[in-house]
Amino acid sequence: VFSVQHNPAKPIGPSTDAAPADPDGFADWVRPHLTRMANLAARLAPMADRDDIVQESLVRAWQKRAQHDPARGTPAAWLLAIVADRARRARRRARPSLSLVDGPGASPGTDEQVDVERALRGLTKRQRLAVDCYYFADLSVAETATVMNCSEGTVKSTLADARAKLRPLLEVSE
Amino acid sequence: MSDDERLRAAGARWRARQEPPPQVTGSGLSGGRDRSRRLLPVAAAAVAATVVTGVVLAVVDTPGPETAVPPPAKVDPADLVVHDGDTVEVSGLVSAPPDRPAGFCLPAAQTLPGLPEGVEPPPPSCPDDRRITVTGVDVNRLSRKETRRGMTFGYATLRGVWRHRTIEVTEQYPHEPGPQFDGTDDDIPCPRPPGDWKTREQLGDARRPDRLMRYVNKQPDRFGAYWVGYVDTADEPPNSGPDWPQAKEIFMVGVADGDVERARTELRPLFGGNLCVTRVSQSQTEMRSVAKALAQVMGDHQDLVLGTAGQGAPEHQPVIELLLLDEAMYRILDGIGFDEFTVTVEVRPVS
Repeated sequence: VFSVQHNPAKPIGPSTDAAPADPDGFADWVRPHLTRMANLAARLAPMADRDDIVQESLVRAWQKRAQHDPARGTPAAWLLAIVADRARRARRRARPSLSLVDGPGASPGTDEQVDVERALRGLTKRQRLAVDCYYFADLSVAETATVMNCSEGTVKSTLADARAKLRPLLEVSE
Repeated sequence: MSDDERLRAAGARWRARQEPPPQVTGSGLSGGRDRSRRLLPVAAAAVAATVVTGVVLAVVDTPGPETAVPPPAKVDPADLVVHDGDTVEVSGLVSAPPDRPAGFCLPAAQTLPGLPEGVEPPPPSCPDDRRITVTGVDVNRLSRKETRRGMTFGYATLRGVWRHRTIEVTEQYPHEPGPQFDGTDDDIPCPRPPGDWKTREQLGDARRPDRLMRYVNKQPDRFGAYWVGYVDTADEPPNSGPDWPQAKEIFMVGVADGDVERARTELRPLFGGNLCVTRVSQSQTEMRSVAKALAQVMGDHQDLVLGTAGQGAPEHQPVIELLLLDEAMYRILDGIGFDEFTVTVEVRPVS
């Protein structure tokens, strides 16, 4: 159970960006990032249960909170990287859970949305990842770089390549 | 409208359709898309965790190589116990800093700050508490060897003597990454129906299992795990997104108590999709109890327990992921009952 009070608190550094060691403080620390964590999980593992991925990520983040180094990245970047890791695991399982089967994430939406989703399938994995992170999960370029484990410049060039590839597909759909 | 604007608009529309995320408090998560699911043990109520006995999936989030997915193989947990002096095997990421012995890196999320353009990214993270010292590694023989910021890293399968959280390597083999998804069908414990399973496209909204899940969840002592499997997926892997039309998606429901045929008769009118009702050993209530016990073990033994999950394939029972299984941990888990969950280990004994 995500009963964080059962785990011993570990001392951490003095930075205000460090992950708090008390459960309530930790909850406050992650709360501002939950929406983007959920959106990233939904985009990166569309066949899995978004909330389970968020849940697993928070458990992992709590367990590893002492490892968060504010000097190396923002809390959002650290949390989103964990979500990306858990989402990749969920995707590799290739056994989707049920919530998305019946959830709004599985709904095709408008015709235009369907066209966009179909067009995205023509991208390479890295291009798709960049588009999912930046345009759909609403991550910044820096955060997308964190998730993709590359530089911001690479993210920008990957997004440019993706847009170029999508252009004819999206124009056709209009 | 530019391509950028078009994609931004598509993203905004998509986000607008998402439900609010689950809420988090100091004592747990609540809310989210499916409140009933949040009552399941959190340390991962994942309906579909793929974990198998033998080797934990070495999912290290690095940019290139994918790690092997070992074939499911149920082994006797007693055969996984490691003592000091035993020969063991590990397979995955190895980091070799210039100023200290090489280390085998346990699965971990990789974090990376936003970098200015042109700045070399750091090597994969391998913190001390997620690292096993390995002596005698030939760094030049690491698979997919790379050096970033002075740190050399790569992949290998290593065999050696386990002693005091160190492996004295005696044999080193190339690391062979496995496929993410090889098109292999899932095991469906039911025969194909007359006319075959229907595709998602054929089923449309009929594949929504809302009523079925509500019915199952209201009887946690009778029903156990439920999960989704796919067949005939070679041409269209399931990672292609929610609009995957040709997937033959089968909804499995486990019956822990009572007659399976009777359950099937009751469930069929509640679901228009492909349904497979089968026997499972644990009810939802039992799974929650076991998962709770495993989560407690994890809290008490963070040096050995890498994670737990409320439900994992292929056994569809709770899972505990270990660095290794030593005698003390064996006794603890034996007290819970090895038949009640699946164990995975990162450091495997070699007989």
